[in-house]
Amino acid sequence: MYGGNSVYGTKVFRDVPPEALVAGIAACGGLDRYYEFCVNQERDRFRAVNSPYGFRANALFPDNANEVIEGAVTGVGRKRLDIVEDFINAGLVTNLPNWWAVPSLRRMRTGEGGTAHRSMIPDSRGERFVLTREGVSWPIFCTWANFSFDIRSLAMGQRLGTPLDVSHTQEATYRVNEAIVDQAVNGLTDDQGTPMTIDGLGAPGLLSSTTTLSYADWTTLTGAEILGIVQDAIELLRITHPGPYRLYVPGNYTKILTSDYGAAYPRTIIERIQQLGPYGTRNLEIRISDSLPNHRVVLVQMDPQSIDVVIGQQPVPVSWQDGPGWNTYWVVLSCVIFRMFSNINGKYGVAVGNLA
Amino acid sequence: MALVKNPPNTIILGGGLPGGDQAGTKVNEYVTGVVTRPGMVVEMADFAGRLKYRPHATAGPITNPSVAVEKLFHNKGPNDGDYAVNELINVVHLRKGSTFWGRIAAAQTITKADYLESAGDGRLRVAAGETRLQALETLGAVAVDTFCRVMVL
Repeated sequence: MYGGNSVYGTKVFRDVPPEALVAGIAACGGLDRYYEFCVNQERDRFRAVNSPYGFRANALFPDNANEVIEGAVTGVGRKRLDIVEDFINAGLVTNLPNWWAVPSLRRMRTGEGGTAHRSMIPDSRGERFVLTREGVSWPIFCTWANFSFDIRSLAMGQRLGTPLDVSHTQEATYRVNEAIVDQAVNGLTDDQGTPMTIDGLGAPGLLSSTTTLSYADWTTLTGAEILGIVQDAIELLRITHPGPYRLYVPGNYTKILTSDYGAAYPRTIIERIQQLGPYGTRNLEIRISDSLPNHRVVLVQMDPQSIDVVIGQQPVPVSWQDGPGWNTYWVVLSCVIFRMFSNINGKYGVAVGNLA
Repeated sequence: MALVKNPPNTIILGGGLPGGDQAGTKVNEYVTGVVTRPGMVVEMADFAGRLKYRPHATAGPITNPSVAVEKLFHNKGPNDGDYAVNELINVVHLRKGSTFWGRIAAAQTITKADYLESAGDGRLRVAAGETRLQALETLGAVAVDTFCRVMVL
């Protein structure tokens, strides 16, 4: 039945028998208080009935309905992992498909020997020779990253459209590639950066080369001064390693190298440097690399006599489950190892720069 | 007639899956800061801010036995190749009930069921009381670096 006037205006009452209504009003001490009691009772009942659905008595929509979660995700900005990929793209690769069975790989190197003779008939005494021959070995180690999830976390991720295995495999793959580049630049270390050997074998990186050059901070130098430093580095290598060359410069030299060379040359410093040559089959090439530490410039003879990359396994995710299947485990596994070769006289085809 | 028991020529003997696998947690991510022989009990230590393994350096009971294993991948057995300083070392952190071939310290007399403890140099010696390591064979008076089958309790 409808009715009742009060300071609150027209009210709607539940349909109750007159005697119960009168008793209720009396129990609450007045009509307005009885009305308040009924409204609160309805509100509590409504809330209890609808709580599984997230309804609020004072809200139109479920919790957080005002917010939409995008599918796109903002990740942490990453540096490019370019140096090893560069070497692979240049074809400087030794494939090792059976790397599981190869704990170490040995490269022989030979010295020089012999001499030519001049006579009218080649039956003179002459002189025998035998080449010196020795080898250097690299450990064939794997680089990997692992993660695991229980079955319910995986199921939740799939329900929400954000598969945990996909995102974590991507991250683990990046970490593996990052470690591969780190070995190419800094050599083989443990995860604290301690240089290490495996069964007495090391795997030196570019910065381990003993052919070095010191210079002032390039950001303080002129185009001509920088050009002179590059030419000096080429002179360090040219006698034993005649090219072709590629110059890798660190990211903190980007600005200076893309600045104008000066009055003597109408374009940028980097364009001037790229005109050096030809060395071997082509002019000097330049790459700006995020993988190098600040101020460390590296000149590399780009051929298999100087460097290569052993590829046993490109990064690949491997997964398995425990016995009952309640947990799934992943490893992103790779066997990619940078090698830098010195000749029998200890000369590398890589020159490294250091701040003076 | 008792069965002949040949030297196992490997450090991890039993525990976990058949063949001695899963006798513990394998850790192969750190170097050693001190020359270490396979079969030595080891511990982690701070070397100028870097975590490295070293032969267990405190004489007495070992609370969490861990052992350096041989360089099997490099064709070396327990007596063939020590780990040099800053060499990546293979260590197994042993589970209860697992067994290993451990090195005994100088001037020891080993009897079955003897409790063993660290001698402070990566090797094991007879302990005065109960410890987590127990000899599984009688060797008598032994020279330093004699191997003994040991169980982790």
